[in-house]
Amino acid sequence: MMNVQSIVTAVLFFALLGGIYAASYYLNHKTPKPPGCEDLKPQCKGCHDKNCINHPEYHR
Amino acid sequence: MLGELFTLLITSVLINNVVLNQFLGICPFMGVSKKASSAIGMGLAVVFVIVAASIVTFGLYYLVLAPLQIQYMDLITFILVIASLVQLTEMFIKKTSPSLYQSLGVYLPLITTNCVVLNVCLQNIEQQFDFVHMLVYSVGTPLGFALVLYVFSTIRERLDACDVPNPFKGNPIALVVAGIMALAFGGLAGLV
Amino acid sequence: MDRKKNFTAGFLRENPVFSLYLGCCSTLAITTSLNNAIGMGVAVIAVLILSNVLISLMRKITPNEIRIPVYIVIIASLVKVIQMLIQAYAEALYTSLGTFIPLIVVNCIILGRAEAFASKNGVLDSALDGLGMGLGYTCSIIVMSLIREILATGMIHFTNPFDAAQVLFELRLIPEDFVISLFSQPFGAFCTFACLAAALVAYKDHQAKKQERLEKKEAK
Repeated sequence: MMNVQSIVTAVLFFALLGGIYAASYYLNHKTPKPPGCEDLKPQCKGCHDKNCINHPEYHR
Repeated sequence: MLGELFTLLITSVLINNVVLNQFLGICPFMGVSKKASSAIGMGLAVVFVIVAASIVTFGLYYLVLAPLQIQYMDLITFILVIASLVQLTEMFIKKTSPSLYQSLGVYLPLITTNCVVLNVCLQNIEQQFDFVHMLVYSVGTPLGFALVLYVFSTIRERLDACDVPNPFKGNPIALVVAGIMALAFGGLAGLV
Repeated sequence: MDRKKNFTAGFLRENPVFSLYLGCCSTLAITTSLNNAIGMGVAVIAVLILSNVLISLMRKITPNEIRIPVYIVIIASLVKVIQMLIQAYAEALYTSLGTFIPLIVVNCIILGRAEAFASKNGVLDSALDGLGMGLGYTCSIIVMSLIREILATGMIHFTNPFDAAQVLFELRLIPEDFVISLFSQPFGAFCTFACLAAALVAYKDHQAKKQERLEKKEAK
């Protein structure tokens, strides 16, 4: 059954996963966009949700 | 063995198409299908992310979650892996190839919340695929997505010139077109 | 007053499904029967209220830079809990909804409301917003599933979700020889959705015109 070692491994595993995500998210947002791509927007109008980051009207 | 794999490929690309038969990825299907070029960009980005995410989640499930008997954490693991992969891919493309970023980069953030990716990762486990079947399935499914997206975008370029009743303009008529495409793809069910 | 307006916005004006096109994947897929629609609706309402409340509670301690990762983890954990509950207590529902229960994680309604409302408002308002939007979603999928079920099978059919053998309600409206089984297939799903969305656009246009005419009259 569950012993202390596997619980610790699991907790460490998820901390690592979460850490990798948070770090990659942060690093990606810090990386500057290459020249010529600064104001590229996906312009996705698939849904009419203006709160979606990809909707053209989100940045107004 | 090879024939079985080929059947799986045909099934996942055409017969059990993600968009038209499983209704997944409808948002990018309607949102990024205005131009054929953006459809191709989105299609390629999805193929890459799904193959990478499938391999990583498949490995993590059988090498980490199963030995620890915490299979119930699959959903959280998978969503974290997909989200990190998308961020890492975007960062990598930003640093290495500006031209690639110009054509693919904008579609990457759209993929995190794309249900096709999560569904392929979940199905790989649920269908109890081995590694080779998993690989074929996770190449075939996004290929089907890209194919339908491209075909749909070419139809849509013509649709703009048509006289559509006012309330149907935009998404509703696109959905009707998708329905007719689903009927056509239904005819392919006899292939296997 | 403002609270009431926020609450009712999800039904017609800002209907999440037919007006904003959120969560269309699950809507198209699971509206083949009334049972599925109600089960899915309840699951989404539960996740939406809980995620809104939790995110609203944590809005002051979440660093702004990594808020989206935090939301995704919260939502994924909640969905897994709901999925396990459904699997334990409503086996039939679990098999018929299948993969669409875990896919609630990537349902745009949930993350959209977290980002747009719960991250800026208090706990009570966020819970009400979740309930309103969730009910709007549920009503939409119930309407669509009724249309599809009646046209495809000719019956309204509702069984006890906790015990699939117990039929609670059954009514035949169309004789068996005249049903259109195409409506239970993908084509029916896409077309029903398109017609309902177009109907909502037409209704909104009609209301706007009426308002305009009224204003003109008053100006005279």
